[in-house]
Amino acid sequence: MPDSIKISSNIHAANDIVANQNRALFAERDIAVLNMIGSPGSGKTSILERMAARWGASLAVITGDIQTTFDADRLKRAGATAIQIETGGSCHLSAAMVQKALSGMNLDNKKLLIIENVGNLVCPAGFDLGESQKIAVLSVAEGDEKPAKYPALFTRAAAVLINKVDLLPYVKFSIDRVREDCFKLNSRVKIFPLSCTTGEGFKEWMEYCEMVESKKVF
Amino acid sequence: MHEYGVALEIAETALKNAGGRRLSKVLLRIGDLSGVFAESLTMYLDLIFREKQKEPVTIVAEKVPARFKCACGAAYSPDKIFDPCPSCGGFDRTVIDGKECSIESIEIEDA
Repeated sequence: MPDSIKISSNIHAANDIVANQNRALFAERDIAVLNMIGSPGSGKTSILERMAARWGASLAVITGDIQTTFDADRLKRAGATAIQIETGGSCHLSAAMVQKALSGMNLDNKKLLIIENVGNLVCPAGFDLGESQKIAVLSVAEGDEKPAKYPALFTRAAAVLINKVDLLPYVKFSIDRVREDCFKLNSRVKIFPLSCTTGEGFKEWMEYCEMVESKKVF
Repeated sequence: MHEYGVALEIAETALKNAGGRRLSKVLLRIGDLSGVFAESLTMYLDLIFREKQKEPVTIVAEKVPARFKCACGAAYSPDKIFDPCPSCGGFDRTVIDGKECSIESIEIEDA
């Protein structure tokens, strides 16, 4: 007869341990952390460039891509404090990658850290990095059925940024449909229509970030 | 998409717990909302175990259906993720089951 050994180990347990170490560090340093997740090209870096104009070097960004430091370079030029993670192939950031990046970042006088995840609507949603909130980014050219097709992210996101709304006259996209589907997945979600080209919606989005920063919303 | 990495982690945990004895079976629990595709995971695990030991390992992935608890108090298993609460028709719900991605137990035999 074979011996049976009970294990009951969560496969993401190793990641969760490091994520909680990150979370403890953020609490100790009183930093609010947003994990920004969206498709490649949805405009995550462009949104952060606009935010850098408001926060300057007090905005800390850890940005993840498979290759290149393009995004960190752009964000530094925009005035933010940015560090790049090149995953070399991994489709998502893990808590350990973020922990390693944090060791190379000066967090003095930082109140808001944004982790720009690898462009991907699927895998990043499953990995806790120690963040306060997940933020989903969806651009109108991607189509309004994305929350229904990729519910894992939209169920877990505290806010959904609908980017590139200046393109609405040219594409078939219903903000109402996105709103409706997102509320079904998470009745507490906040929706922010944005345009990095015109600046539309940034006042409301940045006010929300200030509330996150001052811990008025969690 | 990242099932290979998850499979590597499972294989490592299973072999460590086997402590050098022959691994004959691995029992997993994979939730519908876990973001892990059970068929792809077992395929990778099979490949990894074939490299580690001569005898095959039986991999059983028990699927856990999604189960929600609604703000009205009702618990329900939706057919589709967009199904509203059957009691009140609302969507203010939390996940009770379905996020699991765990290795439950292993069976080992003397080589």
